[in-house]
Amino acid sequence: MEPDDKQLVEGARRGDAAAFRQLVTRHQRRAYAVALGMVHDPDDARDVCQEAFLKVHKNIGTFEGDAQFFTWLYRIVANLCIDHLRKKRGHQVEFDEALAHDDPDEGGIAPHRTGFDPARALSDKELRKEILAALDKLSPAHRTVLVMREVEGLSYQEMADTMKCSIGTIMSRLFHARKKMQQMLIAYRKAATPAA
Amino acid sequence: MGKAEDERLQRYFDGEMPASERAEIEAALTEDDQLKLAALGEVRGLVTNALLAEAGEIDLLPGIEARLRGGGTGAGKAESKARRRWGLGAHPASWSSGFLAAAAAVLLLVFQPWHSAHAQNGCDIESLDTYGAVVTVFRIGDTPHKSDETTTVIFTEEDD
Repeated sequence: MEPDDKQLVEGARRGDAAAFRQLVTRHQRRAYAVALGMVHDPDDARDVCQEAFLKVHKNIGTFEGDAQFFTWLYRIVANLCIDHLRKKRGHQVEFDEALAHDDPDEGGIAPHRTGFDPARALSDKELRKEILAALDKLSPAHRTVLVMREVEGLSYQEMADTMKCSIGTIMSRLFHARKKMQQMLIAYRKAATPAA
Repeated sequence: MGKAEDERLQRYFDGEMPASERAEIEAALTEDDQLKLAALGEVRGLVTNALLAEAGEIDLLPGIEARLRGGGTGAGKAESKARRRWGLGAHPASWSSGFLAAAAAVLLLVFQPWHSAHAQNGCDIESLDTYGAVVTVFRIGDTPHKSDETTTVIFTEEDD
């Protein structure tokens, strides 16, 4: 039977290299997906993830066993991505709360599906390209919140702690990001589907 | 329905409200609300699946282990930064012969093997070995007669 994360964390704490390797193998894909969604560069995403696992290795002794390992890991990944984006010239201002919070469009979520089966994103490269391009059009602050929630499943409180802002700001950013994604995907669907 | 109501629906979608409030929302869900919830679910599925598919079968272990062995000196980081700096792909297989030629040219300029101070036997060899691809520059010549020297560049690409 496969050991669970808790057992692997215990092993890694005792210096069991195989246990640490298994933690990496188990979580690297999702951690990388999160980093890729946030920093939008495969090499940067790889660097960030490697750094995150090194931090895990270094600090595993301080990890509280009651918490979920993957939540801890994804918060480390998210924090490193945010640091990375802040360091990049031109992205600093977009993390400013007032600007990122601002949503000139007061409308809500459209009661329409985009018409794309989510499973199609696994196999359809063209659709994936459009989704990633749409993500890229979001500001780093909006993209970060969307990825943290959708891919990592972080709670509003965890996201607020990670981004050092209020839960209200997180909710607003998330709402804006989802709405923009929906609008862009609906527009793509319309453009890709010839009129009857 | 405005933004405030939709943000409440979003909190419901994300499981970020107490059970009593959930029950209240569920009792009053309209057809539009249900469509909006489906739309939110669709965006979640599309974003997650797209990123997971892009991640593919990523293998971070070699880089992590290299950095651990190097005492956190950034060996793995240096690896991907070097690739970026030289315009290399994620894998040596994606290297072009153009890069190898450029590397050789740099070697020739930097090391100038034909001017080597320790060329006692008339043969200088300089080699750059990175990620399984080797560029070797060597010169064989007749020391007393500089005009007879020959410089040769060899490219070798090795499988992983």
